[in-house]
Amino acid sequence: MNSNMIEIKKLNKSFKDKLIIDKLNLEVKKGDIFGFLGPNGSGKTTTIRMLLNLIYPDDGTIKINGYNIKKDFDKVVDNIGAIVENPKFYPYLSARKNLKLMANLISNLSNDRVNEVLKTVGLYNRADDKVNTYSLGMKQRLGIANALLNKPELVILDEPTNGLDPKGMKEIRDLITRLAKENNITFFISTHLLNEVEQICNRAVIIKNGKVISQGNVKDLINIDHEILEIHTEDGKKAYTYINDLSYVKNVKVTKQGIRVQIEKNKSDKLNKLLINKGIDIKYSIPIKQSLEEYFLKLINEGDKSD
Amino acid sequence: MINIIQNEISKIFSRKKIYIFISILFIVALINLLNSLITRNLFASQDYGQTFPLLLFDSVASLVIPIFVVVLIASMVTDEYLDGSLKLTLLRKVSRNQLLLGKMGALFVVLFLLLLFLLIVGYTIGISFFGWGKVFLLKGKELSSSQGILFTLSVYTTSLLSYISFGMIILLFSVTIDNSGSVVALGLVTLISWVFIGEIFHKISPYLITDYFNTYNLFISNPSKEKIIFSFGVIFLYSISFYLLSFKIFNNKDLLK
Repeated sequence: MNSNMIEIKKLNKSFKDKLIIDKLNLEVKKGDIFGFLGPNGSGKTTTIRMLLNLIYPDDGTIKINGYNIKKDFDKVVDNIGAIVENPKFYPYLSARKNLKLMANLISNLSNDRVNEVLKTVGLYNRADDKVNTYSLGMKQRLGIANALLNKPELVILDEPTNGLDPKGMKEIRDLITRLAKENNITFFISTHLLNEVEQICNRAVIIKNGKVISQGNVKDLINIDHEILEIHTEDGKKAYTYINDLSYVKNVKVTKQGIRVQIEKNKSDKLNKLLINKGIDIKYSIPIKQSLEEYFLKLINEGDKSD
Repeated sequence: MINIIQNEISKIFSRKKIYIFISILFIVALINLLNSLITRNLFASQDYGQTFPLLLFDSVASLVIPIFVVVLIASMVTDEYLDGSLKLTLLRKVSRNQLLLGKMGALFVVLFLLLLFLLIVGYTIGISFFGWGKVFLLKGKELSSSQGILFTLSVYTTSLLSYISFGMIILLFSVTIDNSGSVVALGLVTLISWVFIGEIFHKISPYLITDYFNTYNLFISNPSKEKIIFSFGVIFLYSISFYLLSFKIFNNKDLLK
């Protein structure tokens, strides 16, 4: 049985001779909440459009649930729900009417499904209002309701919290987490918000200029091959001279409190012992948890330097 | 397919445009009535209620209804593409071919309803103000009442086919040009120039779809079987060729909006 919900291999796409997606490879496992991270213009939306057959790749293959979408998109589309860029609806119709039109295109749907999804996203009481009276947050929720109509196995969301206030962001993230848990839905979420990936995704890929620059479990991406220590001491400058040339020290800076040092993983004990042996009076040694944001920015900056 | 057509019709009737079209048709009917009443008083001409639907159709056939077609298709295809809602349907189990056919199916139904409205308004006003009349008398042609009704229905029906055919040309513009204003402008330029060319160059006019918007002249001239087949052939050829071209372009198009 295929455990991959999405498999992308050597995907290429150019617009007017400009390479937008460059040999992109990625795998999304069933049950993942998968973060598709990248700065603006990195090719996230283009990739999503190719996943949904709205634009066609120049080269490469996309498989969803084992089916090559080039040949068998009609076999997979029934199991997909999606929002591409901002959720778009017919603004002159009510939310309920919009969903009814969409429900009309799905076979074997229960009559009450529209009400069910409206309740799920918390729009039931505003369902008869025209969409052009909705806030962006309500439109996002309506977009998710539309994506859920066909009880999909895979939901693809393009920047689902873009433009929302913190409360709206939290609501959408909670909704995604709940739906993944309760309905066993695989989510593929593109975003440029790193904390979003950190909060809700179990796996992620980071792309830049259409290329994958890192991919894996979010925990592993954060928990990378080095750690940062904030050492509080009055002998910062002295400590600096002792450790600056050590092979396992990647970077060291003198700060107001002492030093901030980036070292290879699992070397903090060794460093602390060395400093104590050298007579440095250490008040505190604080490991700094690296966020995905720091990792992401580091990767992006490295990419910039190599460009 | 029926579901797509239902959705499209539902959207069309949820917007103001269609009610503006209906109002325009009604206003044109009133203007025609006024015109007929004035002519009747001035020249003591004899208008019959049973001919009024054709008189009315004659005044909207060449420009007013084709303009509706241009505006409707630009709104159904280009506007939806630009505002991003076109992809809503394509993210369901609907192919691009089905989507285009569904939209054209909806256009057919909506035009049918508009023409039906015109026909009913025409008969209602005609009979109310001029009575039914003894015979069907129009532009020197005299038919029995039953023949007159059949004649009227034939003109309305065949014209509907030619509008759909013209709609396929506008469909091609709509899937090619990403600006609804430009689609409407190009549609109107095509319409007016073809009508104009048809009026000047009579040898070319049978090959122009605009020549079949009002099939009154075709039917009134007791056409040969060959001429009727040729006319339907032209309408059919426009429909098929422009639809296939539109589909080919749309099917290969990257939907970036």
